[in-house]
Amino acid sequence: MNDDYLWDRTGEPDPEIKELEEVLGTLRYQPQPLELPAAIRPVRERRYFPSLAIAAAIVLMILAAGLWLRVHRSQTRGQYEIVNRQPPSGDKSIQPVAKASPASSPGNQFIANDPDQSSSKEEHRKRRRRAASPANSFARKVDKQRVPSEPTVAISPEQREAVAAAKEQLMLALRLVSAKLSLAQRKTQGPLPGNIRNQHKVG
Amino acid sequence: MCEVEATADLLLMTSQKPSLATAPEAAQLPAEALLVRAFLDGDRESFSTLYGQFAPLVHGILLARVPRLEVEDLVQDIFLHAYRKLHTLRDAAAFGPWIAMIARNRAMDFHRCSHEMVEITEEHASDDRGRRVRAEEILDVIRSLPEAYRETLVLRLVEGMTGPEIALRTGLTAASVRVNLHRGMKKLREQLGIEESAARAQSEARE
Repeated sequence: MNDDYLWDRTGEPDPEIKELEEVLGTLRYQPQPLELPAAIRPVRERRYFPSLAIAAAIVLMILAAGLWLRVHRSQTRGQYEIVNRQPPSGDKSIQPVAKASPASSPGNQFIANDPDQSSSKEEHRKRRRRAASPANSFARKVDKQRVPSEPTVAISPEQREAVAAAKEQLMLALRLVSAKLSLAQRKTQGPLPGNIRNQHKVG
Repeated sequence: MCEVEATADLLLMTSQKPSLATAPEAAQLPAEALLVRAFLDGDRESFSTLYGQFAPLVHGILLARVPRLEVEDLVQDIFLHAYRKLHTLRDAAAFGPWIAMIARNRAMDFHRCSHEMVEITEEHASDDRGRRVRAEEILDVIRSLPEAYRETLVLRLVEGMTGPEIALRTGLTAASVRVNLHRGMKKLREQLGIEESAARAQSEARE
């Protein structure tokens, strides 16, 4: 069998293949005109998809980055406020004074009567009421996210000494009051049953 | 075994791009692409040129699969379909493999949808009637061969294409077409030899 003739009709013709070609050639395609409908017009497809996909991806990335930045900023702000509200780790004696309301201290009447302080209390109460209302759930969420920044008290070393002295005075006064109260109780209720008064040695 | 190999070859080769073809084949590729682009730009005549170039390919593919009398109508249908859908073709240079695939799918649809048909041979008063009858018989034998061989053999022996032309039009590699031609021809010879020997045996029995 001549492979070259079968492949590209070069070389010596194979008689069998030649005969087959002649016989089967009667079935060969006879050119016929193609009847194309005039109503159908060729359409060139405009491929917007790749550019649209790229644009959409860019927009999504920008939105995601913006969202992430927003969340990240709010988180860092919250941490910063918490850190600011905490007292310095070396001076623990200041903590109750800085956190506690100044009005609870009996020696400090100036702060209790401070109009700014009372107005901030009012404001805090209003905020709590607003947060508690079920209709304003979104506002509550926002309030949870945004921790209200309370005014931080800056304390100088002299003030610290004054606070410590006041504390000492308070403790002394409390001890005195306690001793006087126990004396008054003893006087009103009489001697205790086991107590022997005017005890003298016999013999 | 041979059928499996040939089918695997066909699957592998259809996935390859025509750009892998040899140099003289590659020189012809831009012509198709230019014709497709010209058609998409509104030149209807370029589609007629494409039809003239690729109608024998579609005819051969269909002839290997469907009854001969149905082939002419199906060729027209396939080119009308291609005319409507040509804008969906991504690679303009792959028009040949694209329309070949449409033809194969259409042949499968034909067998799926059509009922059992009996092919009626045309009555020709001409001298080549006997030759036509013989051609029909050989075509039936070719149709009984594995798919990869039958398509290549029909394109070579019926449509008169050379091996490189078949590779270029169908998107198969030249090596694959060569193997299919060689093995298909061997099988065809065997089948025809068996038939001839059977006919001889019958005639001897009659005598």
